[in-house]
Amino acid sequence: MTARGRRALPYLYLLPAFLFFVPFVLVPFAHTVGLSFYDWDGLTRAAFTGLGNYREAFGSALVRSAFGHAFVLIFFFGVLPVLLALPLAVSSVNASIPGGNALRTLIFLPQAISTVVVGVSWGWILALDGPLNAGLHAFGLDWAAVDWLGSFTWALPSLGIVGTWTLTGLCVALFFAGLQQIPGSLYDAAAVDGAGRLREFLAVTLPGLKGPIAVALTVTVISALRAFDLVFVTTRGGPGTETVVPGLLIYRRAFEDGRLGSAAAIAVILSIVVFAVTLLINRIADRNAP
Amino acid sequence: MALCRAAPRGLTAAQVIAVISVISVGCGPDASDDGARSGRHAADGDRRILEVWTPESGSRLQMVQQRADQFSAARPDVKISFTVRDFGSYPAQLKLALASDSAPDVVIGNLGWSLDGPLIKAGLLRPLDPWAARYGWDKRFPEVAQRQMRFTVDGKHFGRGAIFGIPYAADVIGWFYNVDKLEKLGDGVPATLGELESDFETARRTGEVPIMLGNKPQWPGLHLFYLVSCDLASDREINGIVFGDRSVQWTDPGFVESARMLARWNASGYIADGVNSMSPADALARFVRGAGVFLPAGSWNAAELSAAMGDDVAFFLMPPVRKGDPRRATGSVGYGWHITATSGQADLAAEFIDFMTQEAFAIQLAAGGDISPLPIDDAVPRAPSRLAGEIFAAWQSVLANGTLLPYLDFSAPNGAEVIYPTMQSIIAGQVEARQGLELIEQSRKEFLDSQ
Repeated sequence: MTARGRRALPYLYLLPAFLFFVPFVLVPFAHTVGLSFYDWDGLTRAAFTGLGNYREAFGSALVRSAFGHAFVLIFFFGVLPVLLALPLAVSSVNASIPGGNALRTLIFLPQAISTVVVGVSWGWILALDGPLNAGLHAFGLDWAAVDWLGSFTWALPSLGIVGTWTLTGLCVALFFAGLQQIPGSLYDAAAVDGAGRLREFLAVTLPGLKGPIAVALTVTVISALRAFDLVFVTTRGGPGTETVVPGLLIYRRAFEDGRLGSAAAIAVILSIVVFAVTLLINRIADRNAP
Repeated sequence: MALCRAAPRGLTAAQVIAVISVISVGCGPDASDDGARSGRHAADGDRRILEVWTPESGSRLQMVQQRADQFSAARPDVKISFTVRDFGSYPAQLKLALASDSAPDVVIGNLGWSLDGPLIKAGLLRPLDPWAARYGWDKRFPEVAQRQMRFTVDGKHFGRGAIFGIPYAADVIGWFYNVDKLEKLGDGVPATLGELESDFETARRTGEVPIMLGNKPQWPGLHLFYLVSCDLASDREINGIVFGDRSVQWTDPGFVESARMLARWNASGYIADGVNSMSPADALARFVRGAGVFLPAGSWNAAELSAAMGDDVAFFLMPPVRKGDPRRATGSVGYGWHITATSGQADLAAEFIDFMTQEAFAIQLAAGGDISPLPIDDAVPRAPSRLAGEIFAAWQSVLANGTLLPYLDFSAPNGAEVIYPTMQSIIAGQVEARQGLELIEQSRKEFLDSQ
């Protein structure tokens, strides 16, 4: 093979993926970006408005609150599952409890269920006369039984908890795989140095899981930012505008209100936010890499 | 949309972005709006084909198709080819179909800015005035009904100008009630707003749910607002909001009073617990099972209710403030028939539309328990249920008295984003009525400015 051929080889390997990437991702995204500079109802001639749609988006209290809600969901979809999954994975990796594999499968199961099914089921669980409130009443906690998804205070955290339930299993699976990559010799060394359980966790386990944690955060944070299906099925953005998220605004403006330019602008902003947040997560993970 | 019945679809934001982009590939900003393209005479052997689009379903679709069969029987040289799309995705699909090179001839639209407005603005529908004069459509329907089908030819003003659609079926919002429970309250069917409110109070005191409502999709709360504003706001206020009269605002006294009344009803415990997380279908199911004395809802629920409850459910229009005053009601003339700008057989299309909207069809609808925008003077058929009969009589009285009022959310296309959630917040007491209405008015003003 010639030198030129060797240089071209990696690009040839990339070519098949690239052939799909261009028409199905890059071109549509470029179209969306282009569309975001126009005022267009999908039918009549589009009018160029420059940054008008972006000005409108940044100036709109509703759009800002939608992104605010998305960031609240990051806590429930990303941070909380990681914090819950760490002890679950660490405590189960060495323990040889009977049925351990079945247990891990159960924890992962929510990840395998369609979001629409998750939404419908949780809508039922969280209903005013649903099983959750029935349980609270049974324990005499009548004051705590509220209309979770219809409450102006609790609707967003309730959606968040559904996300936590869905994504914790994914994090456990990722961490479990990561833990098995950590060489046992490191734990032996820690033991020889007289490290306790906590010290061992901080000095060996946590640094060893840096990669899986970054992956888990990336996946879960993206799912928080683009949350749409769960909201659409459970609350439609209500009550009031308490659970409106960017995806819902994009859907409504594009397909119901006929404001495609505005929808495209929000979509572009959302894409930039997703890109920035994932970049940040990976930067932090890289910087702290051992 | 007034009859927002969008089905849940599991789209992720990424898919939405992709879909937007795919749409833009087909007809991007450079797509021309050259209006009338060359017509297209479809033919199937010797028969001419009339392409018809509809979002109807259930019994109404059946009745429409039966009527179309009768047309084909009378005109054997014409074949009617129906394309049926589900209500939720219909607007998006219809827009694409009409903007394509193979647009259908006759389509059913949706009133106001949700669908008709954008289509007219884009020059995709024809003004029907020449045929209206020929067939007498302009005299067939009362003006209160006809007005909901008028647009200026530039598509910028709703409620005046040319006739763009011909209605065939209708709906009206009112109060369904549990006959048995209301009887037990002891005061009879309320004849005034005051009596209705005192029924709520009696019901609450006796442990009944006064108003069964499922406001999860947020538009049912606005339907409750329609009922109250029929009493507390003037014709001028309501028509003005809907038809773009800038001298009228959402913050006018009639609307503020209406909104405050709903907030008070909620605070008084008249509205069902869990209203904001309950779907309309759930509310209806609960009402059928005996929860709730009153169910504020549209006439389209009648068939399901009477099938489940028989004569134990009945209906009345919003009782007036003063006893004996004619009742006013919010309702619509459904969706109208339209002729597309590109149809090459507009005369045939008009003949079809005329056949589909004659009194004979209104009578067929009435016999099927449905209502139409046509006053039926004689030959009123026997209603299939007591409930259907009550709704029919109530609707005919509204047509005869000219007391039909349009859906307030016809005023702008962004009901789902602004009007519905804000009204939900007002009812829940999260936002003060006037403050919330200011927000709604602001978005209406922005929409009118953008026209």
